[in-house]
Amino acid sequence: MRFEILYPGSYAMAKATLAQDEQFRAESGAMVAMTSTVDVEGKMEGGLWKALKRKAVGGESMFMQTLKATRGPGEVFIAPSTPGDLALLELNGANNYFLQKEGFLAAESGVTLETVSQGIFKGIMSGEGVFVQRVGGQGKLLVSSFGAIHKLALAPGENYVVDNGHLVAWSGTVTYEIKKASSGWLSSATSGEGFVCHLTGPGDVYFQTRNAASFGQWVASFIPAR
Amino acid sequence: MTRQTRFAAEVFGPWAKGQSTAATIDIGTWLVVTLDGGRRLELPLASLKISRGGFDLLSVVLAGTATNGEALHVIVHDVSVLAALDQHGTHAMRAQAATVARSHSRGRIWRWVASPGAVLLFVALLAGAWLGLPLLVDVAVDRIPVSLEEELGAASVESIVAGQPVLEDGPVHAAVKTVFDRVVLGVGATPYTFHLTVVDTPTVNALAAPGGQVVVFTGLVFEVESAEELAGVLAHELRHVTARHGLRQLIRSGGVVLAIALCFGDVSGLAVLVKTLGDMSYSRDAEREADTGAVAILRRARVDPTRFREFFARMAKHGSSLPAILSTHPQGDERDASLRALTAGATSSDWDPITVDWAAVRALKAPR
Ligand SMILES: [Zn+2]
Repeated sequence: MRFEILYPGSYAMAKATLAQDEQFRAESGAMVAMTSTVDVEGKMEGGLWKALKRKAVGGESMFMQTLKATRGPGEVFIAPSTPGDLALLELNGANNYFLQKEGFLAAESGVTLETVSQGIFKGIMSGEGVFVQRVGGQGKLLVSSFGAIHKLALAPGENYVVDNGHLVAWSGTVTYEIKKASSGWLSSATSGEGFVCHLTGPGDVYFQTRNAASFGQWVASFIPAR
Repeated sequence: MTRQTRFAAEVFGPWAKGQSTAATIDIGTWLVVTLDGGRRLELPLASLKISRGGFDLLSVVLAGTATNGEALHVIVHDVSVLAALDQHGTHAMRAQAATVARSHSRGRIWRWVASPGAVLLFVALLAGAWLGLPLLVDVAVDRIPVSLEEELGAASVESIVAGQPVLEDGPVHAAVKTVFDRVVLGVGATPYTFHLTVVDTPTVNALAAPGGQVVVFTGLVFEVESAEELAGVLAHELRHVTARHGLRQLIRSGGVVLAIALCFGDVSGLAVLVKTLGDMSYSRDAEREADTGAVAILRRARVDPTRFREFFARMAKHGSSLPAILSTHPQGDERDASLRALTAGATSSDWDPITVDWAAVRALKAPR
């Protein structure tokens, strides 16, 4: 199968091309259009408890869709629910990526997906939530961002500071720590206590150009108070 | 026993930035890296630098230069690679591997956070947060094992000392150590092993860090007029240690989230704060407790507890150039009076002199 990103930018969409009997998984509700050769099967990954946990702690949808070209070759168009871009990540069996809770859009069937805790302190201070997703296995993975998506390739030991709520995905080899911000660092609500994310290479880091929480506050400022 | 010597790894080399190449590594006298696609690279084991890295520092990072000159970062997610390195490496490498292995064991303490019960408890604690930070700090402090406190203390002393000259022997060190050992006798039963660090700078100060650490600056050593005056300051600092004042303050400075995380055994936040310990001052209550405790310690060690107050009273008269120790320990009338009350009734038959000729120690002060 093959993923292709269409209309990169703020309203990106992906096209999956499937040979007969090929399948992939997508976030529930991601399907926009498809050939009639494809069957959609909503299923709770890993059973009810795991699905509930994902819903409760990860804020993601309880169901994943499996899209399978049962009646001949097919095409599926998928898109995230928020405006933003997409990036295609590759898993080679050795590497891992970590995704913030809303980052996952779709993946080939060889990709494994698991919700892990990054600890309460890091979770709250980073603004990415206590639970993040670890993806591994083999195959391609589509992640979605709010706004555009920017990739940083960090060399070993190379250091970057990313504001809270902007991380989309990062390699498992990246060391990601919460540190006390130097004075003068003004940031979004969650870093109010003066903490920021420090990322150290090697590995790739994908971040988004907009912060959903800040955007929400901005929109709310136009809604007249009653 | 034969150990596993082959591991799956991700390799970062000069050929691609940010993107790793899957590989298999074999550990023997050499580290042999076989990249996906068949390319083979060899690194002398003795030149490897071992550290932790990746998500939650759960992976092992081996950094070195291959025989063809390429700088490689080999990342192994299976920590049993440390055991293999321990078996095949040189003495220095084994020490490195052991250090890294120790630091590894901590990372996952809080894994159970993902369980359903913990989620409920978390919500309950969030509600508890409304009750106030002090209560939460109390709970958090109780959950920190002494071993972790010792690590934190050692790290914070490192950051306090930060390249300043440290005395490890010599007559000045010996004099301070004699006083310190004498005072420690008065502490009584304690889970801590006390460590003294003597920093050779003119700062007139002493401070306590968690886990039994006391730091004394030679500026203070040359300022006090007797061993008993120094003993008083040390006893005060030791009480800060045993009452875990530093730890409490550290957690408080981290805010509600850190405290909640600690209640769950997530200690990762503490390391973030170690660097802030150096410039910390305690609450008035903590200072009062340290004074009271200091007098009790001195009495148990049979050290004259009255000289300690005299030292602070004398320092307070310095006028414009107040020493550092007074900025964290202001000697107001109230403190002076309470110290006087605490030491009331003590007579010279209650103590034995500390046999250090302090005039001789002060004569060692190098001209600056
Ligand atoms: Zn004090």
